[in-house]
Amino acid sequence: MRAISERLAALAIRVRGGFADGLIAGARSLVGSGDQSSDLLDEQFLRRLERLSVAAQRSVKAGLIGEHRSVRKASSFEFADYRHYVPGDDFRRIDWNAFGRLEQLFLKLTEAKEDVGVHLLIDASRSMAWGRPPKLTYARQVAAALGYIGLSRYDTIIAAAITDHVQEFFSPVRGKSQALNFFRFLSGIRPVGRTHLQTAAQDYVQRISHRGVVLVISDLLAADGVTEGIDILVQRGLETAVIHLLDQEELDPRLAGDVELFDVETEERIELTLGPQSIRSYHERMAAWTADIEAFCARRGVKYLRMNTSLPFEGLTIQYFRQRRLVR
Amino acid sequence: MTFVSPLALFLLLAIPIIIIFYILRARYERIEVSSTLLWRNVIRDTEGKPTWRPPIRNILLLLQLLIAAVIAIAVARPAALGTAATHHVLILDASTSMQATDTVPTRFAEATRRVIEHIQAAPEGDSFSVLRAGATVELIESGQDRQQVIGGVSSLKPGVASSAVRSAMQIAGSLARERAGFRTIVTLFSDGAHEEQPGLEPGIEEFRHVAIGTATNNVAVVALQVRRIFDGSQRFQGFARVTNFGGELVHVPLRSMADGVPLESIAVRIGPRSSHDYVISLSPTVRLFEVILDAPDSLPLDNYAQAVVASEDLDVTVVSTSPPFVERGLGAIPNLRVSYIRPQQYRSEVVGAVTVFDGFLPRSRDVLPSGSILVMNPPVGTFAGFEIAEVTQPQQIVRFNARSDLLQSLDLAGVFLPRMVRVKPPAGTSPVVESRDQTLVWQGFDEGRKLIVLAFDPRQPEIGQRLAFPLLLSNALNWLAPNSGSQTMAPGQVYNIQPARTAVDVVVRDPTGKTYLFPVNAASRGRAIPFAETQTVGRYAIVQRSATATLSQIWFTVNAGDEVQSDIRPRQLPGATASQGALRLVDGVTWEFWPYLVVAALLLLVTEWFVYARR
Repeated sequence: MRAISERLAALAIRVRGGFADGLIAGARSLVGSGDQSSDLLDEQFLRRLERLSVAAQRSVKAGLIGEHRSVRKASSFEFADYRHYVPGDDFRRIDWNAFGRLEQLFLKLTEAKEDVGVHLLIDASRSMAWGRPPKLTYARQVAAALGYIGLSRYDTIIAAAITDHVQEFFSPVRGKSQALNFFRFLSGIRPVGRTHLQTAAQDYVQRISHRGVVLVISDLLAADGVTEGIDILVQRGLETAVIHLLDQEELDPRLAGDVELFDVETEERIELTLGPQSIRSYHERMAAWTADIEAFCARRGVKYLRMNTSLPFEGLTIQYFRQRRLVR
Repeated sequence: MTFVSPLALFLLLAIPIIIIFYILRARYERIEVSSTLLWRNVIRDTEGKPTWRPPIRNILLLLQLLIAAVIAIAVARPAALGTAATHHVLILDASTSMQATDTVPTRFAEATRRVIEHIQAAPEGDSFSVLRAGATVELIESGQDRQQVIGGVSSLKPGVASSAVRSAMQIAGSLARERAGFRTIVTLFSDGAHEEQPGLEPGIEEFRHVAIGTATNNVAVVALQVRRIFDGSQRFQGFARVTNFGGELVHVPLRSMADGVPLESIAVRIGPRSSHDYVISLSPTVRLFEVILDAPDSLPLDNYAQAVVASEDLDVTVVSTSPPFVERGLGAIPNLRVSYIRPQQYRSEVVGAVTVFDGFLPRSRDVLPSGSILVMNPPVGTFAGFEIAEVTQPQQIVRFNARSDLLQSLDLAGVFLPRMVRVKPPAGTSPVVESRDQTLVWQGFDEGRKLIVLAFDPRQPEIGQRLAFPLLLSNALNWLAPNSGSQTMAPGQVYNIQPARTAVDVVVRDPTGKTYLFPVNAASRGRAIPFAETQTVGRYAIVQRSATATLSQIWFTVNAGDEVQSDIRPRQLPGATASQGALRLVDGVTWEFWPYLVVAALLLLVTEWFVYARR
């Protein structure tokens, strides 16, 4: 009953607010129905997303003309700055209006408006189904938010569900009209297999031609291949960001006594007796592990964001993205 | 404080076992995690450690250790020592087999000696009750004055009846319940030769059996009868069954006598635990038949048996619409005085000692005769309290009580009855002959009178040919009127005396010369007089007297030989602890507190469960 009422409400929004509002509502219900979790994208939240864009710090080569600015000054369409003429400059770029007022020769510099590809790699391994709420739900919300920002800014959105290879691939799309398809893709992601970022990244880069920003959304819980995978993305020329999702129970486990731990991804079993000392040791391991990844990312110029999936996904998340200059 | 079962303290070994369980890493709770990646590193911290660990402080461990300790101590039966403690109920078996001479002078004397020893060895303050278990149970002495109790025991005499040990145990249970502050231990001094086995009664904490006797060799006359031969010669036949209860083949010299005159002297050969049937023809005038075994064995008492032949005719009244059939049957039986009346002529005052109702029953119980009754082919309906219904299906005899007097010399296997009725008999009767789902013949007592019911018409041809109706009728009358025919009984059996119509009293004289007088008044006239003082072996005389003269004098005999009592091999009793009479293990124990420990263990168990559930 609740799902039906929500869809009816979405239809009402569509009628009242026009196409964009209806799209938001439809998308919300789609993503929300993906794993029977609560609403993933709040309506107001989606409206706020429309005012954001995915930050690309480095210049990107123009493909299709998009709304992203290129720092490369070029003969283009939008004024950027002036500089004095020096011999050898293209006469065609002299601002003759300025010469008329100031009697000095200035060259008018423009910025090229270039298209930025936004790549979203979502970890779909079985460990992502673990947590309260499941980390995969949270990953879908993050991907939906970032993807919607990109689509709102007319960026090309490419997405993939990855394990040790590309499990599902979402072909490049642009424009908000593709938002529903994108959300539908996200809702169809199911947790299967094991994470191996290296082989998955290799598989992914062979499928794409766009450069741009790549956002890896994963718990990174794999014995190997994590740093190698990030390297492959960086070397491909993609501006890489890692969104590291961890559940509260992973960050601060509340276990004690004699336990047999069962790895839901690898099905490995280990038996151990947990006491305060062991938990302290785990915390140390966790801190060292995340610090290693963060340091590695810093060395490669990769943005690293660690998120606690037990916290609600709301405006704070976007604020956090802004702080970490993932969006602006 | 002491422990009644100190061996149970071995259960305390459970405590280190529980601790070992906790030291060994055996119990793991399965928990799903997203990855064991980081936990593997934690394991590395503990790798190389042994598979055991020091016991961790755990409330469950503590509770379980407490439970084990409390249970172990409870099973060991901790007890407080005190002064007055035990109530000894000492049951002395006074049955025939206790007169065996394998222990000198007799088993009974030996048992008496052991009882006295037992009393003397008991701690100060103990209480005693002594029961003599013969045909009936007597409380000889009860109290703490041991000299008085020993005096009572010393005066005891053996009997010749079977021992009512079950009744003795019931009385012991009552005595135990009366002495709430005492721990009651029942000790039975017996050779274990009982037809009935004693059961432990509530209130008795311990039942011990002091076995008396060692020998098994005994040869006995276990049955003796004189019966009429149905050949028209009026001669009698003497029958004796001699049984060897020992484990070896014996050759026994056997002598028979008639009215004091030797008849025959032979040697009979009897295998181990086997019997020999001795039959001899007797003259029509014989009155006393005796059999003597000249075999030295452990129980001489049962080497002799005697039987008397009654001379008095039995007064039988037949109430029938069609008397000729019954008349033919009764005609073959000697010593009967038979009268025939129609149902409409029937009144309870006009009938004899035995009334035969053939196809008829009075409507009311009030008009039933006071003497014995044989009912044949009763009418359908409710008569004299009997509910009688028709049975439409033919019936075949499948079960019968071969030990019943009624079926002597009869073979009923497979007899087929086309017609019969279903009778709901009185509570005092029991089935003798049965088909798969009906009872054909009942036998027993109804309000003090003897009663036999034949739920079929004996005129049916099948019965006439197969059932030997005259023989069945003869057996029935023999049982219904014990004053007639051969008069032999086992010790303790009840003899029913049928007073003559004009008798004013009946006198019974036992073998020792002691007499018992039974007045016959208007209220008791016609009713059988039960005589139960038959614990002495020998000949009993019954004299019926009118106001002016002696009406009749008959005899019956009581013989010691018996299938149970003559089997003198000592036996252990199920459920009893074998004992030599010493009770020192529990002497002085006044109070056991294991029940409180059991309650404590239960509470600890509940607490342990609660703690576990709350984790």
